[in-house]
Amino acid sequence: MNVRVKIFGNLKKKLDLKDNGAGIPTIINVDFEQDSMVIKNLFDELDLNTEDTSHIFVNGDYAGLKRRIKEGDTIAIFPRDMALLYKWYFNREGDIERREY
Amino acid sequence: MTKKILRVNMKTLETKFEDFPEKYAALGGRGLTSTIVSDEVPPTCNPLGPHNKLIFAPGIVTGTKAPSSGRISVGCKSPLTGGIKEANAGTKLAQMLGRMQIAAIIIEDKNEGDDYYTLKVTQDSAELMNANKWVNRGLYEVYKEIFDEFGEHVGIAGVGIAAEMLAANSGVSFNDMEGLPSRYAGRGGVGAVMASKGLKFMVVDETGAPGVTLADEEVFKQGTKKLAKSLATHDVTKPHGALNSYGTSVLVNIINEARGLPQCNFQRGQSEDSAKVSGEAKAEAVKERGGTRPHACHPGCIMQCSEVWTDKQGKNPVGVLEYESVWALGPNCGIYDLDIIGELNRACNNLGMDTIEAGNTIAVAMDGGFLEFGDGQRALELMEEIKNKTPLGRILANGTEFTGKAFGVTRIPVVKHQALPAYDPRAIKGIGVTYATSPMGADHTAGYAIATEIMGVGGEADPLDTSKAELSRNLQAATAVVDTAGYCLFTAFAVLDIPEGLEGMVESVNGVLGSNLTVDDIGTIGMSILKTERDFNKAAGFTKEDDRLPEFLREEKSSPSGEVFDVPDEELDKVFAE
Repeated sequence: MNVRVKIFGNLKKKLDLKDNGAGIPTIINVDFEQDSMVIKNLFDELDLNTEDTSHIFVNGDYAGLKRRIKEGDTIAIFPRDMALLYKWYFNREGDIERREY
Repeated sequence: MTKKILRVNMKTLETKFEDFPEKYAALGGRGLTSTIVSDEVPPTCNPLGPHNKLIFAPGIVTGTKAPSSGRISVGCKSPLTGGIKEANAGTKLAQMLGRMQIAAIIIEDKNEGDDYYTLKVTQDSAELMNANKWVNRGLYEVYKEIFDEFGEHVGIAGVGIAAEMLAANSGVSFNDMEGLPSRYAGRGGVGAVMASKGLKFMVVDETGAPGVTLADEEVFKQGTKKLAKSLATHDVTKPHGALNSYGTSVLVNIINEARGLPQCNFQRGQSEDSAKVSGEAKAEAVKERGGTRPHACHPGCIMQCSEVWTDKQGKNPVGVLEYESVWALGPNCGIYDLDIIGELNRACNNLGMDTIEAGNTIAVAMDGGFLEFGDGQRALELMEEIKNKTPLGRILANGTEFTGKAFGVTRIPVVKHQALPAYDPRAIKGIGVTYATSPMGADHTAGYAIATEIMGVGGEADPLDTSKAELSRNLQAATAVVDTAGYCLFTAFAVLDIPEGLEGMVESVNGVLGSNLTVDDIGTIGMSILKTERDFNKAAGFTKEDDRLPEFLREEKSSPSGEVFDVPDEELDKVFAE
C-alpha cells in the first residue's frame, strides 16, 4: 500500500529530506508490501524515533502510535519541539500508551 | 505596609488611596476586577456612561519573583458584549503595581469636557494631567514621547484612536520590554471604556515601591522553586521548547492539520497555504532580519514565547505576532503573507485595537464583497479609514458583528457579540463549548488550560472520558484561578503534566496570602469567580440563549472535516447548571 507522509519542522533535517522552506512540510510517499499497518510500523520504516516526535494526524484526525493506516491515507508528523496541543480538546485514536504534552 | 486601592474620579479629577477591604484580601487579577465590577457597576448601565467603571488589578503573586507572573487584569462592563469583561496582558507595569502594593485602580464616572488625561501614579501620589497633545496619534510614536517625558523606567497603559471613537473594538495597550505598545488587554472594548471617561494613558513610576509582602517566605520560595522547575523542564514551556522556539503560532501548522484553522471567514478549516505563515516560517524570518526571538513580555518569564517582528529591512518593529493575530489577519482573510500580516498587526497596535476582532472584521467585510479575500493592500487601506475616523472606519472599528450587518453578511462568527478566535469549533468541538458558555463571549483563553484530572472536580482520571460540559466547566474554573493568581495561562501546560508544579503554584499563592489553599480548592474558587461573572450577565439581561454558537456553525459543514457544531443545547446548558 502507498501512504502520503507530511513531515514537519526539524524532522525534515533529521530524515535528511529536501526542505522547501521554513514551515513548509516535506511530503513523501511511502510504499509498503503489507495492506494494513499501524503508525508505529511507519515510524520503523522511516527510522523515526518516537522520542523525536509529538503530534501525529491521520487524514486530519489526531492519532496515536497504534492507529491503523490504509492505502491512500495522509499522515502528518510533527517534531518534539512543536509539542503544543490542547490535548484535552482532542480524542486521540490509537494510543499504545498515553503520552503527555 | 498594607495593600491599597487607588480610586480615580474622572468627573472631579480627584484621586485617593483607600485601604484594601478585608473582604477582597484573597483576591487579585480577574477575581478582583470581576468582584469590584459586580459590587460597584449596575449591570444594566450604559457601558460608555458614567456608571460603568474600569478596574486595573495585578495578580496575587504579580510583582514577586514567581516565574511568568507579570499579568494585569482589566475589568468593566463591556461595550462589545454588554456583559462583564476581564481582559489581561503580560507587562512590567503589572509587576510595578504589585510591588507598589496597589491591589487595584478604579476609574470611575466620566469627564464632562472634551479633554483627555494621563494618570500618573507614583508610590505616594496620583495626579491627572492633560493628554490632548496625544489625541489622534498612533501609539508607537506616542509611547516614545511618553518615555521621553516620564523616563525610560515607567510603565505605560494607553488607548488609541479606535477608543477615541468609543469603538467597541478597542483594547488597552501596555508597553513591552522594548517600549512598544504591543501587549494587549485586547478584548471586549475595554479601551473604549477607558476613553469614555476621558482617560487616555496611565503612567506608573514604581520608585520607592516597598515590594510585595510575603506572609510566609519559606512556603513562597518552596512553591516558586517547584513551579520554576516544572516550567524549565516541560517540553512546551522549557527553553527551546515549542513556545520558546516558535511562539504561540507554532499552532498554525498543527491546527491547520487538524482541519480547525478557519480560512476566509470560517468557510474552510484548512489550506496548504497556511504553512507560509506558520510559527516555523516566522521564527526563521525573525532570525534572518535580525529581530529578537525569543523574548519575554515581562521580566522573570521562563517561557519567553514572544518576539520583536520587524519589516524586511529589520525596521518598523511590531512586537509579537501571536497565533491568534496571525490567523485572524492572515488565513481568516485569505492572506498568506507574514509581511502583510505584520503590517496589519502593527496598524492594530498603533490604533489600539484587538487583532482577533479586527481580523474577523476584515474577513466579514471580505465575505460581504466589500473587498476580495486575500487583498492585503486593501485591508491595510481599511486601517487608514479607521485612523482617519471616516464613517467607514467607524463601522469597522466597532467590530465583526457591526461590520457584518453593515455589509449584509449572515456568516458572522461571534458569541455574545464577540468574534471567535482561531479554532474552528466544528473541528474542535470542546473549545466550541467554551466559546458558547464563557461569560466573556467567544474567548479561547477562557478554557484553555489545565485538565480535569488535576482539578479534583469530577473525579475521573482521564480527561478524554469527561463529558464536554464538565470538561469545559473545569477548564473555565481553572483558568479563572490562574488569571486571579496572576500567572500566565501558559504555565498551565507545565503544571498540567507535573503535579509538583501545580502544588508549587498553589504554595506560591499561600506564601503571599498566608492562606492554606490546596490543589483541591482550585475548582471551588474558580467556580465562585465564574458565578460572580455569570450573575452579572444575568442581571444585565443574558439568558441561556446567549450561550450558543451562531447558526451557520451548526448548519454549514466545514471542509475538509465535513463537520458541523453538533453539541446539543442541553449539553451547553449543563456547563453551568446549578
